[in-house]
Amino acid sequence: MEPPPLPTLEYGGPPSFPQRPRKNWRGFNIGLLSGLAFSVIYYVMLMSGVTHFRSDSSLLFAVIFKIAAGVTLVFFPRWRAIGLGVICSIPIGILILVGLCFGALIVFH
Amino acid sequence: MQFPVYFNLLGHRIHPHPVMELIAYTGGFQLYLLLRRRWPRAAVPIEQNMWLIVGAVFGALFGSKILALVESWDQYRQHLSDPRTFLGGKTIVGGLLGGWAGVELAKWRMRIRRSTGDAFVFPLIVGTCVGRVGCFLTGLDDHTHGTHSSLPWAVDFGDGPRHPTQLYEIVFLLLLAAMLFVYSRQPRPNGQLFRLFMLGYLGFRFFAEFIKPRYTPLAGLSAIQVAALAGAAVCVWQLSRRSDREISGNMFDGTTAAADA
Repeated sequence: MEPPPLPTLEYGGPPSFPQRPRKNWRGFNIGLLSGLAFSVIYYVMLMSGVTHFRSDSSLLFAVIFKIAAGVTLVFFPRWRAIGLGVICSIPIGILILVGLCFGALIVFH
Repeated sequence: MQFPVYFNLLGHRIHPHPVMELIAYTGGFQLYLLLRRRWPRAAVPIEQNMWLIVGAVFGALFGSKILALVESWDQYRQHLSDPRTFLGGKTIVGGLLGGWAGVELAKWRMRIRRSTGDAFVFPLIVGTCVGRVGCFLTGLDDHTHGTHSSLPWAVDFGDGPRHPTQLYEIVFLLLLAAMLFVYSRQPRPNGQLFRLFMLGYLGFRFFAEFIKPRYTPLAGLSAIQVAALAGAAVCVWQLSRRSDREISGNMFDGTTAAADA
């Protein structure tokens, strides 16, 4: 009696990025809007004195937090789109919330 | 009208600039997602497209800040001891050129050779128009106003009538959008729409700077004018090249014409 055939080995794994276009863009959008909302709320709390940090160095906290969150999410394929959205919200948040157009000097009170 | 024109929300005064910028960025991106579904080309995989956007926004941040620094160096050098002052200031010309460079860098890294900018044109136009409303409502603090003028439509931001260059820019962008809209109804080579937009906008900014107060260390030109000239030259050079011949289709019929040989 012949031994049963060996099962074939599947070397190909799942794709690194789920191929669901609309869901991926929705995830990116969620990450972007969440990141911006976090920055806005944090900035408003900072400027209104709700937090106890010194305002000139604590601006960095939101950036560092979002970098950490975004990069972490990027390492998980399921959450990569959200992570990329959070990462994109970092420079956009800086552009929106820090300073005015060219020539304007920021003043902290 | 007293500038800045603050928004009143639930009894709180809110500065117009960040509000309009927030609307500009978020609204512009939503428009991009909407147009992207209707644009016939889906040549770049989704994840790569997202990385291109990451490249674009980081490039825009650095370009915007660096050009603002160079543009207003005479003011910044008086505050060298305070590093926080370097956080402020930004320019749209720097943002566009920096964003373009960021995308090209990301494309080089991912070995993408086709043009990807066409779908960004109308979102950029809408976003810039909305953002400029915030600049106008901010008044003198924003430094985007023009020189003093006696024209009947000059606006008094608080120190006498000046050219409302923010409004000129909005009108120009709307006209540019209309022309590009008509132009894009026919199949065009991939990337041409974006280069025409950049050429038009940079050309406008070059000439508009002559009616704005500016620091002119470079043969009577400001840093923004020099950057706009350089960017426009790159656009002209790329438009005159015929290497990227793939026809992209147009935005409205959902079809894609065959690539040129």
